[in-house]
Amino acid sequence: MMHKGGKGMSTRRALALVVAAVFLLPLSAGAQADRPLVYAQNVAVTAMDTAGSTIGTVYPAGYEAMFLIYDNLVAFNDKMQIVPQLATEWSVSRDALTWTFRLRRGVTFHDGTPFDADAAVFHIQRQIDTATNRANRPLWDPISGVRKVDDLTIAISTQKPYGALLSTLAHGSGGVVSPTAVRRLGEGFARAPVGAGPYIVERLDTGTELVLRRNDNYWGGRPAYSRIILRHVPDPTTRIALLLSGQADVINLIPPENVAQLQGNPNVEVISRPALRTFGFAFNLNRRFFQDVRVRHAFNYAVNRGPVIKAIFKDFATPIDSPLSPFTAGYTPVNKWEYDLDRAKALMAEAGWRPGPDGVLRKDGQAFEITLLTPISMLPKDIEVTQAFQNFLRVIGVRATINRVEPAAFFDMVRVPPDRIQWDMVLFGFNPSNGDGAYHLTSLFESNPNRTGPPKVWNFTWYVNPKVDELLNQADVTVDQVKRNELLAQAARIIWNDAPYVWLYAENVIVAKRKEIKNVEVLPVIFTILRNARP
Amino acid sequence: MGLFALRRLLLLVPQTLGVATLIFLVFRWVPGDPALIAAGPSATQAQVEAIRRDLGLDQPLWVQYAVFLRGLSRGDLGTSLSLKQPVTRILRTRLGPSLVLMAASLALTIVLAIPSGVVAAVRPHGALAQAVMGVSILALSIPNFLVGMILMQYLAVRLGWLPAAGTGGLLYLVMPTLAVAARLVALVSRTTRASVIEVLNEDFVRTARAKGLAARTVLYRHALRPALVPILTMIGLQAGYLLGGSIVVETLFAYQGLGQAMITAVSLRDYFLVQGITLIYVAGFLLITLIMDLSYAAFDPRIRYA
Repeated sequence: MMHKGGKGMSTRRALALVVAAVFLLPLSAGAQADRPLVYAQNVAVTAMDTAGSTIGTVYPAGYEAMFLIYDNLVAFNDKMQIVPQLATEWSVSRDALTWTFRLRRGVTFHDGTPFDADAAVFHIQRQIDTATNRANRPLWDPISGVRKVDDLTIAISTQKPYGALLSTLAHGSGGVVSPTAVRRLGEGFARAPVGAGPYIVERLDTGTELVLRRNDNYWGGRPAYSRIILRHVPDPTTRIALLLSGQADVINLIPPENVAQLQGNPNVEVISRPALRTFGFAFNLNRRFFQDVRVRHAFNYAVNRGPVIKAIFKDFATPIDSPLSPFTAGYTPVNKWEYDLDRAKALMAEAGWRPGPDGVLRKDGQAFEITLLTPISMLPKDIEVTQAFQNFLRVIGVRATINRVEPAAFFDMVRVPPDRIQWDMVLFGFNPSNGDGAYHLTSLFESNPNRTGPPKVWNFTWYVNPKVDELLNQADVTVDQVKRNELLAQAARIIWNDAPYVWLYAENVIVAKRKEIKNVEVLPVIFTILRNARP
Repeated sequence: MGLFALRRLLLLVPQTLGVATLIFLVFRWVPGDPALIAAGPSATQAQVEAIRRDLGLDQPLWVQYAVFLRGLSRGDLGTSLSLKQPVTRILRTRLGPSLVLMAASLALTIVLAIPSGVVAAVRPHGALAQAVMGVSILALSIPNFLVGMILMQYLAVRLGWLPAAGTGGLLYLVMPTLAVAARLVALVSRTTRASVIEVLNEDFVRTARAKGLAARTVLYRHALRPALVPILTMIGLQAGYLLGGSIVVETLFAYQGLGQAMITAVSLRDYFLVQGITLIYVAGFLLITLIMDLSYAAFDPRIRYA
């Protein structure tokens, strides 16, 4: 009996040891020194080519990866100012049509190819050629050519003066690629990109994670981490759990309602700042009742933005005072639309709308009934915001019904010719990904070339104001930043008062990190920049 | 039996083909133009048209269908728009982890649910029976993602015993398995209890008892096998839940299976990938149903297929 029992014990103990070993293996491996920096992102990194052939880079994950892998000629700092990167200095000709860039000496790409004027020319040509690059066309189309001046100097020429050239070069699609790698890898370059940035692609497990390793030859000094892992974690609760349990060091896209939970933790720091994306309800200006500017003003006065931002966004949004966000280049405040119910009602009355027996406004026997279009869970708190707006409209006697659509169907309903629009107002937010105000205003408010097709870019309100067109065209060809900002301010003022939108707020970008990690930069373009991060 | 199995196996071919056709049509009818989505927000109309040509979406429907079928017959499901890889390659890398999660959940279900259900049936008023039934009601009423979130909060964030999410060693499998299996265990243990109680009241059990057989022998040799039929049916019916539930749980735990790939594909509007994954899910469902049908005969001596 004794013998048997003893044997049983030892077998069991051995089994327990095996089980313990199997279970503890991954933990002990992870506890070793030289920990990688783990960044949990809401979307997956897929293609990382600066010159997209068909589908664009996934936003923001793809660009965040590209800012680690590539260096640009010039870059944004976290105040959205332009700073030198692979170009050390630049100048623009007197006619403002030619820009000369002096390039940094002694830089090599990850594959050993030297960075020089030939490489820079190759990069620019590849970006501007519509055969090699179909993505981000509005940014690259204004550039007409590029040539080598000497081994470390290039000249970029534009057909018209191009005020936003530096913003374009600093954009995610402005990362300088290794010409050797592009020629060698062809289509495969998107999955194994080679740049001159601080981190090198080690492994891409598509849809799951991207592992980057340190570029020991980086010209700007040895990067702090031996490895950076960008991991796709779609669920915000899970990203928070990863951060709190120490499995992730930085996480993005935190819902406002979860911030309090994180702020209570001593090991965590929350970074929140206004983003460039501004939101509003766009009017379908093809509808007769919206062609009266008094109605559009009344709608703007009818919305009490403060409580909406407090209740729905927990104050992690900022009411806007211009079509542009405060951090967008060219921003100048216009004024705020204050909540003024009496004024709203008076304006509606002035426009000829009288309340009927049911409280709904009527004019010429027609009731003021409209449809609000919103995507489902594509824009932050889209449904909640639309419901709040519906209630504000009810107070002034407008009956609105909400049409919620799947994100996949949303753009098909918005980008249609004017006679096929099936909504009266739509919730929309635009993010100028190069940080430039002219890009923002032109995309949304420049009049469309014709009414037979869909809008050229995002002017689906079909707003037309020749004065605005003229100012935007001028701003486009003005290189002097002071003059350019003045033109944009004028355009913004006119648009703001024409009110093709019920203007609402700029969202905040909310990122959290372990407190001990330093130099995590969060750009208002919603990018988290980790290239300078250090433990 | 052999002939029946063969016939059912052959039937899988037209079934899968029918389903594939249906999926093909549905994906052409749902709103959202793949070319427009692939082109991105700043594309011009000409670029959208070029992409439409590249993807073959400008062809008439029957040509597209012919291309789809030809690809299918060669095991080619097209190229993912977003991941720029053949869909089949993505399916290959993602299928394994999903199968592991499903198998683990199923194994946990069988190990926990059937014994607890039998015990609850034999002593319906015992403390254990009461506990099993109480817990199972609770497990049935909490959705699996909530189970997952609660587990994550306690086991990973508060206690730090398990990694919160990801794929890796066995430790990473624990919470997703529990989250998926919770509902199954509850359901199957309740079914087992009801089924065993019913069989124990049947005439042949009374006969067996009358022969003077031990209670244990009656239970294991006579009652349990026929009682397994409804249990198997229940497990089979839950195959759909197993597939669907794993999508939610995989996404929550950032577990690199098919379910998470599905969510990514949908959010990136990657039509070909969604189409491919849907096809795998449906084929999986058909296969599970077949296995269930065949296993009835193996467990219940009264069922024979001609």
